[in-house]
Amino acid sequence: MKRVIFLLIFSNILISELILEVTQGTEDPYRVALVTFNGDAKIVNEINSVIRNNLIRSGEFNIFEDDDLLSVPKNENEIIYNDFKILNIDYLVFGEVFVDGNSNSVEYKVFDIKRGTQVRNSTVFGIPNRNRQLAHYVSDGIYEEITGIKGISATKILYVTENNNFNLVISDADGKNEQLLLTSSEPIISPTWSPDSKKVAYVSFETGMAKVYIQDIASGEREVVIENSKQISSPAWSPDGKFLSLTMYQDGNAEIYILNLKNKNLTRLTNHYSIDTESVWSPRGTKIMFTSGRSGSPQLYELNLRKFNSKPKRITFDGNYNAKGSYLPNNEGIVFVHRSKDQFQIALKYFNENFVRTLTNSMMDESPSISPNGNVIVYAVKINGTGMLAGVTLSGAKFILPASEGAVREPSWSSFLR
Amino acid sequence: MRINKTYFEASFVSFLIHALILLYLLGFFYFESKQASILTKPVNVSLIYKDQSAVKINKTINKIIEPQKIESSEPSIKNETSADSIPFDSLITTIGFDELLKEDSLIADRTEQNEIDLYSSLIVKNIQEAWRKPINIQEGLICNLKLTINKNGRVLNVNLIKSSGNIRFDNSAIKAVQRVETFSFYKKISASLFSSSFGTVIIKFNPS
Repeated sequence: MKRVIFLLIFSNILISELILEVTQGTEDPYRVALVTFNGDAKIVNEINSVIRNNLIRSGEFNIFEDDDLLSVPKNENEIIYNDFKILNIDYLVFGEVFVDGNSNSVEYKVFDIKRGTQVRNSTVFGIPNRNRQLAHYVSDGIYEEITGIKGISATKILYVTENNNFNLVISDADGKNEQLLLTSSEPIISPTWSPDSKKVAYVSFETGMAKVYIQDIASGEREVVIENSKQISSPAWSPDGKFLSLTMYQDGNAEIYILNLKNKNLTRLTNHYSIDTESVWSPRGTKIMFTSGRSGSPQLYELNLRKFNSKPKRITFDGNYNAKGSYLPNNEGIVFVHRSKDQFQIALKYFNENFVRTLTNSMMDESPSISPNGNVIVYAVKINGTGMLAGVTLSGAKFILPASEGAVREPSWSSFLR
Repeated sequence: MRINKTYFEASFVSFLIHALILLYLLGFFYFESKQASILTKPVNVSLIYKDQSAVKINKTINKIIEPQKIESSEPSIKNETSADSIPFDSLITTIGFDELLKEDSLIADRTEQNEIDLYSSLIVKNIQEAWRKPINIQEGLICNLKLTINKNGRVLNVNLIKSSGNIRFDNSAIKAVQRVETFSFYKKISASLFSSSFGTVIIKFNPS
């Protein structure tokens, strides 16, 4: 037996393989030809423009439309690959919309021009009047095929708008198709998604007291999970959905607590005379990151939940303001609000690097929330004094989501919805 | 308490085995690069003869040594026809047939190495053309992919054997290989070279 093991070990070492090193690559966006789909002109128009906007917003594509192309194929037999090769196009997308009584569906195909083959052929089924949803699914299919990463077009964003009332609103990832979840004359703050994105949690002052509600999106039913005569803020769900971390002001000072949603037990996590707030869970739920003023300026700290009686560890050291952190989905780093030269910017810091990468350059960027694929960050920005939502992709593309009624703040991105 | 000696031995052997297995799993025995075969010092050859048969041999020797000329800057090959001819037998002993044979096999090795270099650079070129590096990722990321490729150059299997820790980076590397799909020049690779070197290839993505 011993011999067998030794043989196994050494036989593997002796086989040497050819190792090649790749050092160069391009950083240019993919060049994608998006041909107008076949089918009912009105529906096709809507679907095509939604897909185009979704792809452009991701920052990973240069989109070519019918007018930009040398030939416009309507089916795969008509593709003249050389016409696309001349334009250096990487991928070609076309499709067809079928209107069939109660059900609209889209069949789309993706072609790799360089290889000269079809790489994807999918059909998405929808229902009438949900063409936007249909287009989002198609966009995600195209995105995933070309980049290999799951798309986020079919995800949702939750935020609070403020006109005469406070409104809790859910929209598509492109800021359209708004649905009202709750409206109140008193403030609503800190909305957040449950890990499965079927529920939302928020703090509402509708009764005059700070109450944390958990609301089911589909049914609209909601329950109060904790209430306090003093302030409560920033609830955050643990990745397993069993706990809620939140900031409470029980003894007049903001501290982080963990609430067990099953038996409503409250555990205090921090104890310091300065403010501790804005807690979030690491993707695996083993750590909690929060903003604390214990060093004299707001900085991000991490608390290891696996260790008994562990002390918060400071993780940001650049500048005198780093707050509202959140983890990248694969835990490679954090995104937060960073102040440099009196500008509040969205910044990114990888754990294995010792410097901060700023992603935005406007004056008052706040409340960053990361898309579930980790590629896009939505944040609140002030434009002409009104709060709006803006986004930035890690590849550097920036966009503004369409203006909602009133001031918009505190966006929160859902997880993948299917 | 009496301690049985065999327990000591057994636990020591068990410790060794476990340590080896652990080291192996941690990649301790994983060697980064294959040693390129190095050409040994060129043989200095001096030929001094004049009869017919010697001229014939002279030609073949020249042929064998020619590729080496490019490699080494100072091969001293003297072709002198002199009156004081040395008998052929002694000529063989001076050069040494064994050495000639060794040189021959080295040259064969050299051309194989050339071929490996050529096809390797083609593989790298193909992947580099297809690779789209993600923007705003950490510096110093490296990931290794193991490709299983068939005789026609089609990539049958891509295995991430060492992750960079950044999913976007790993993914871009895998995507680059998938976009290549087939290395068209594989048809030119001889069967023996294919089976020795190009059946499985490890690609190291190292942009820094």
